[in-house]
Amino acid sequence: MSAIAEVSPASPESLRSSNWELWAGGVLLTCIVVLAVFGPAIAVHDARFVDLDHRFVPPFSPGFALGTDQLGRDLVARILRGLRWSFATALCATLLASVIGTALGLLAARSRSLLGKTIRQMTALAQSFPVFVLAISLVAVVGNGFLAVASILGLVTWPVFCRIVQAEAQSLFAREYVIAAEMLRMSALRLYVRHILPGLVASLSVVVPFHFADMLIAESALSFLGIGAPLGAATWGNMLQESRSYLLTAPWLMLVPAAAVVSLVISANLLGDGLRRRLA
Amino acid sequence: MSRMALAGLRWLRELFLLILGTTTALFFLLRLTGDPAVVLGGADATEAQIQAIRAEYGLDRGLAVQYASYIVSLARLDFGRSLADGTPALAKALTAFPASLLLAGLAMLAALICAIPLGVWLGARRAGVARTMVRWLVFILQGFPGFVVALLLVQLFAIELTWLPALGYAGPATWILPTVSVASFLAPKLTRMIEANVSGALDSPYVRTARAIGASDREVLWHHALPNALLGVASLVGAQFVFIVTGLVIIETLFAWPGIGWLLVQSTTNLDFPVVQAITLVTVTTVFLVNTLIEFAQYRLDPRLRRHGPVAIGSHA
Repeated sequence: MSAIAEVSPASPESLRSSNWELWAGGVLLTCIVVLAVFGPAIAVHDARFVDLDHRFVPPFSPGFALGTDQLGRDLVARILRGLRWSFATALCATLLASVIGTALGLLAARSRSLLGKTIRQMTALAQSFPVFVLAISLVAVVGNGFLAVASILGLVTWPVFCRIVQAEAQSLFAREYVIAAEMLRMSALRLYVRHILPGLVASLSVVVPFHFADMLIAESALSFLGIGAPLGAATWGNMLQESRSYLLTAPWLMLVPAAAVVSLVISANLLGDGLRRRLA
Repeated sequence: MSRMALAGLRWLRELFLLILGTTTALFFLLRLTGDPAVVLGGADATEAQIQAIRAEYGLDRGLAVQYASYIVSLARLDFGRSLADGTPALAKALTAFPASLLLAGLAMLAALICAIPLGVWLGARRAGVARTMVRWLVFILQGFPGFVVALLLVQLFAIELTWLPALGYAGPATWILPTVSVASFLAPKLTRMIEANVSGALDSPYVRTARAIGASDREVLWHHALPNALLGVASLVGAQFVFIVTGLVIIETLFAWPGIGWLLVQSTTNLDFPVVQAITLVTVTTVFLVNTLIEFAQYRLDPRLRRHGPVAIGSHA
C-alpha cells in the first residue's frame, strides 16, 4: 500500500514537527482558498484587460505588483484567475476520483461476483498504466474546458483511491465489531455508514491532499501543453506556455506562475505529510 | 502444466485484457463524443466530402460492425494511416520510440545515481542539522513539477549562461537538460522511498540480531541493511516507470525531442486519432513489459519471493 502503512511510531520530536507541518499546510491552503474565492474581486485590474501602454512592466512596479505581460495584462489578476481555475479543476478531479474509487473499492472488497473481480483486476493493472497518456488522448477526443479536464482527470485516476479503500475495507470487515454487527443482522446500509466509512476517513484524508497536488500538476501540465484550458485563458499552464517566447526579455512572465504552481503544490504536500503523521 | 507456463498464460491474459480495455475505451469515447467524419474532414469540409470520408472509413455502418472490424484490424496490427501524412500509424509511433527510450534510460540512470546515495545517507544517519536540511531540500524539490524545473533550467543554462542548447535532439549537449528535467520528476520521490526502506531495514529484527552478535555499524549497513533495502529499489523503479512516461510527454514537447511524447502531443493537437491510438497502445504495452521484466528480475534476486509468491516489497506510492 502507500507509505501510510509504514510510518515509524511517533516520537515526541516527530509529533511536534507533525503539528507544525499540519498547521503550516492548513494555514497556507486556507489563505490560498480565500485568495481563490475573493481574489479576482479584490484585484485592481481585470485579468483580460489589454493595456498596450504598459507592456512588460517588471514586477514590484507601482500599480503592478507582479508586473504585466506581453499585452500589458496585470499578472496579479491573471495569477488569481488562474488560481481559481487550477484549484477548482484539481479539487473537482480529486473529489470525483475519491467518490468513484471509494464506491468501487468497497464493492471490490466484498463482492465475489464478476464485477468485483473486474474491479480488482482493473486496479491492479492501473498501477502500471500511463494515466497521463490516456488523459491526453481523452482530452483530444472530448475537447477542452473545465468540465472536460476535471472529469477526465477524475475518471482516469480513481484506481488510486480504489486500491487503498479496498485494502482498508478488507481489514475492517475482519474486525470483531464488524463481524458482530453482521451477526446481529445489521442492515448493509447501516453497516457501511456506521462502521465501514468512519474507518476509512483517516486513510482517505491522507491521500486526498497528495492526490490534489498530483491533479494540480497534471492540470497545469495539460494546459501547458495547450490541450487542457481554452487557449488564451488565464491559467497557470497557459501563462507558462506563453512565457516561453519572452524568456530572454521578460523572465518574470515564467517565474511568477512557476512560483504559484510550486507554492500551491508544496502547501498541499505539507498538509498531506502533516495529516499522515497525525492520523496514520 | 508447469508453474512457469501457467504464470506465462496469466501474464498473456493480463496483457490481452489491458490492450482490449484500452482500445475499447478509446473506440467508444471517440464515437460517443461526436461524428469522427466531421472531425476528420476538418472545419471547412463540404457535406459530400464528409459522406466520402464516412464511406472510406466505414463510418456509415452500425456501431457493432465498426467495432468488430476495428478489433480485427488491430489484431493484424493495423492502426490505420496517419491523417497528417498518410504513413502507417504504428510505424510512425515506432520510429519515435528510440528517442524516448534514450531519454527514459538516461533519466532513470540520473535519478538512481542521485537518489540511491542520498536515500541511503538519509536513512542511515541519525537526526542532525545536515539531515534535516537535506530532507527539507528533497521535500521542496518534490513540489516542483517537471516542466517548471525544465523552464527554470532553460532560463538559467540556455538563456542566462548560454552553456547548453535550449532545445533539439543533436548530440550529448542537447541531452543534458531534458535528462535532468525528467530525472527531477523521480529523484525526490525515489530518495524518500529509499530512505524509508533503509531506515526500515535498520530497525528490523535481523539487524538487531547482527548488532547483538557484535557487527559494527558499518558492517550492519553494508552487509545487512543495504542489500535488503536495495532489493526493494527494483520494484520502486517499476512503479516509477509510469511517472517517467508522464515526464516524457511534457519534457519532450518542451525540448522538441522527437520521441513518443512529443508525437503524442503533436497528433493530439492535429486530431490525428490513428496515431494517438497507436502511441497509447505502444506506451501501455511498454510499461507493462518493463514491469514484467522488473518483477521477473526481483523474483530471481530475492529468494523470499520464490517461497511465498509475489509480495510487494516497498511498493508504495
